[in-house]
Amino acid sequence: SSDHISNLPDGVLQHLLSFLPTQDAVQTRVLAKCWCNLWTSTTVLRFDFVDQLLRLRICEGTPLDTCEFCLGENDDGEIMSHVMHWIRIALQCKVRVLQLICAGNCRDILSLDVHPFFISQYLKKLELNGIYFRYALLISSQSLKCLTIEIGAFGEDDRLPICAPNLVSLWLEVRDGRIPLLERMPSLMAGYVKINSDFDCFFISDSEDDDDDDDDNDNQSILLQGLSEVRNLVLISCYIEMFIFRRDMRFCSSFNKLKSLLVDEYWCQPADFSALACLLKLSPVLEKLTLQIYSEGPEHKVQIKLSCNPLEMSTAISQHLKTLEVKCEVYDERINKLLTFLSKQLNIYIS
Amino acid sequence: MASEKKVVFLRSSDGEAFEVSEEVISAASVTIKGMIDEESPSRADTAATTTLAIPNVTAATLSRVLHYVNKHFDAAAVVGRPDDYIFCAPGDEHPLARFDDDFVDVDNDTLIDLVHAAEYLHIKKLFDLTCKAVADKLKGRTIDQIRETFGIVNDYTVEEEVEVYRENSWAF
Repeated sequence: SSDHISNLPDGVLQHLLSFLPTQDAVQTRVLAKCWCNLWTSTTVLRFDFVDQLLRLRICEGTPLDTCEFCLGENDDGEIMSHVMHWIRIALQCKVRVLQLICAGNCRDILSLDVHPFFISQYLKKLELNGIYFRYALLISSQSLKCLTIEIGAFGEDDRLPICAPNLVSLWLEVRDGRIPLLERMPSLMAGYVKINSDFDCFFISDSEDDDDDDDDNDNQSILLQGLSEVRNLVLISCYIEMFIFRRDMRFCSSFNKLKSLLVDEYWCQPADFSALACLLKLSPVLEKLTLQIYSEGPEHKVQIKLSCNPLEMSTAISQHLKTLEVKCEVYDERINKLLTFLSKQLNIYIS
Repeated sequence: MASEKKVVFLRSSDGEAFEVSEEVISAASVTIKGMIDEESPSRADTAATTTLAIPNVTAATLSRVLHYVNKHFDAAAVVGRPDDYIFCAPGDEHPLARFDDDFVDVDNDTLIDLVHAAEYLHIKKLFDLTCKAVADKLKGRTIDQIRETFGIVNDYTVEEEVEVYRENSWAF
């Protein structure tokens, strides 16, 4: 028989597809060319199956192992609110691995109710990518081993507290807003902290006077103290003015387990290298130091590798330091100054 | 004294005329209500009945549509309100649910004609009913089954079809 159905106007066919579960609707794209773009313009997406699926799991009581949500660039806020709802159900299902990845600009986690998200005693691994934590929600989990916040934007009012005392691995990339508050993580093996936000720079004068700034005044560290028991650490900041690292060092106990440290040019300011010297002083068992200067990598044009002789080093530096690496784009005056400083500290000559 | 109920005639594309209460069809079809409103100044004080041409709908389809419209309007008239509000206790079947099920239990071409007519006449409930019925025929079927059922010609080249499958493989 002849193809009556494809002759229906696009608007009618789209209305028709809106009655189908999303998966069935997407399948119709394969029917013929004129069907291919229909579904992409439908305004109704039926995700009831996700609800039903997850609810069924709650009833069954079987713990959920892995739950991944990936949002495309054009998915709107309505979908986000569904996803947050599902995440809550997944957490109720005792999910162990939870992943939420949003392409494009950072997406607002809508604070739909007063319950803070990501509180779980079952979660082992949490990966959040492209999220805007507008309101200070709480990430709190005794069981969490691995936390990844890639491209995270944070609110401008309160700091997001991260409480994960059994964390083994932390990846934190702050794109915007206030830097989160890290609580103690005594089991941490690897920490990566990259601050791409200049938001906290504005408070630098306040913190010096330590008067009118709210939570930053009670003489406690925001980031570094939480990391003080880490083995391997990367500290990067795109903004020299960002003060959190430098400020934190005043309230931070030493990194007594730190074996390997990578820092960027942020730590080469001020010009007398006092910040870097202070950081090295706080790292008594450091074995490997990598300085990544004005070069984002992963490929670096210039790599300088130095071996250190512990006997000849000054007491202000770890007696365990064996390897020193400098990675940069070009060997210039800045690198020369840095090496001069280091050679003085390390009591070695660099040819 | 109750005034005599006004009627209008609807002439199908193939020339057959159908009588329907003006009140019923105005409540049901946005399109026909618009036509009647346009006509009304000229016939305010004449007794002549109006005949409206419905050029996009055949007699076979129009008679089905009017059957649906009369049934739903009558049901509404029993309780004196639009049938959306017919009282229905929780768990009870809507009194017209059985009628609706039977109404769309027709062959594919008839069903598609009803979708066309409901869209053209702008009868929201009938449009939803028929679209949902078509959707039910697509649900859970394989692509080949759907193509065969509705006579859809696959105009993709082999490469194109492979690509579309690849892009949408997550849905299969």
